[in-house]
Amino acid sequence: MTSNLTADQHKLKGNEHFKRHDYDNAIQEYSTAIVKNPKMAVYYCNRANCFLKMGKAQLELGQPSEAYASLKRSYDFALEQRSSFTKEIVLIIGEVKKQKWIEQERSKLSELSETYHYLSDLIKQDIQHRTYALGKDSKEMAADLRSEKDRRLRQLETLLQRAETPDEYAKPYIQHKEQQQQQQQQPSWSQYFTSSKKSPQQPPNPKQGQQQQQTTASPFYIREVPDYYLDKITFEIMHDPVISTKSGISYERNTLLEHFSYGRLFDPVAQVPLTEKDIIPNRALKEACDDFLSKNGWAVDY
Amino acid sequence: MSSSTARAANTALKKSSTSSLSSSAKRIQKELAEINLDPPCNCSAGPKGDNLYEWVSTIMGPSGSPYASGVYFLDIHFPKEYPFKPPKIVFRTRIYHCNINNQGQICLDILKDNWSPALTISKVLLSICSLLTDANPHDPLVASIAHQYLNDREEHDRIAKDWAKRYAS
Repeated sequence: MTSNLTADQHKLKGNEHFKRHDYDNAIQEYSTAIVKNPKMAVYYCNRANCFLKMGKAQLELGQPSEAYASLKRSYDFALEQRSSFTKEIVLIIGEVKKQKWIEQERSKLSELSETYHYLSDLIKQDIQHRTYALGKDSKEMAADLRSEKDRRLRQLETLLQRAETPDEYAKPYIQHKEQQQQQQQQPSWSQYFTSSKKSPQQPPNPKQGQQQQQTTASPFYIREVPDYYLDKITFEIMHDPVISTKSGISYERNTLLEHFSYGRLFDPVAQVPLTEKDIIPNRALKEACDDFLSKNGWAVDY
Repeated sequence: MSSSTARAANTALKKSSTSSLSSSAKRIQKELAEINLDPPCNCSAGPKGDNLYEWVSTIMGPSGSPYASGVYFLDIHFPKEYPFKPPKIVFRTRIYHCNINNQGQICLDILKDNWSPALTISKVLLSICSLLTDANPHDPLVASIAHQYLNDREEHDRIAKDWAKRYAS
């Protein structure tokens, strides 16, 4: 550690690293600068910006959990500094939560597909064995066995469909990510699974016809985010809800602070005086929102 | 994260230029969806053209009021700071009302000092409807009409009805 440098020199070194997108080292330099001169707001802001950039990069690289950790730190730092980019951070955090959900739905799908293949192979083998055992002369019995096989396979499909299948809403997202094209109109479940078997890394691509269907049969697919998860100002699902101690109504911290920044110091819904001192975090609601998003990543785009 | 991966990711970032909507546009879009799904009674509203910030709205004169037969057109303009600043709403159709002047400007507290970001266009339109039913002569924009409203209600209603027939139907 070059301890004989001044705080500002550390900042300049940090800027150099930042320009080269070397955020780890930039963060270190800025932190050193902060230790040497804790009163310079710009050091904190630069550091928060590093975490933001890092979080974005990790998201692009498909590491949503790492990205979430970086962005959380960035949010905390930026909030402390009243930085203008907290809004952007919240947007990207939403994106990260969505990615996490897509990952989860994808692994659910591949797990289900694996089970399907295992069980359908078992059925086929069993029927085969029994056909052999029959011998050659009883053709009628063999035909019965074939229809039994079809019946059992159909049963298996229905059963798995009833099992915890991947969220229908996840399919367009998964498809979008992989950018796969499929000409199939209405593949059955077995086709659905087969396509995933060929490339176990890639999720079975939801059918193209499916998306068409979704738009035409939209009433069936319309889903709602319960109002109590939504910020009363932006109508978006909350990330950092705060509760107004004057009314008990919750808002997203960022938007409420923006509202105050116009010099309008009142509770937007209850219309009673309210300032920044009268708000506290609503931790239970935050947990509820996070939980909802972890199961319904689509809600980010709601 | 090593610097090389960071660089790789950064180039990836540049490629996927995320054209995200501004927060005001997002909010206006949500309101539009809501209005289409659950329209307020006797009103309709939507963008004039491609510009999300310029809307046009129609209000049917509420039954039981002298404006009952009329259809009124309004222009709505959303500022970039929406919903932290109120929308600007003016009547495009002439109306004889003590809180609405001949330029179509409306004297309504929630469009000025009492605006709250928790209000929506749909709520504002409902307020305008109820302003047509119950004028507020104690905070008038056109003093002469307010005076008449208080002292000669019959004549006021007759003129209002006449204007509704002449300009709003």
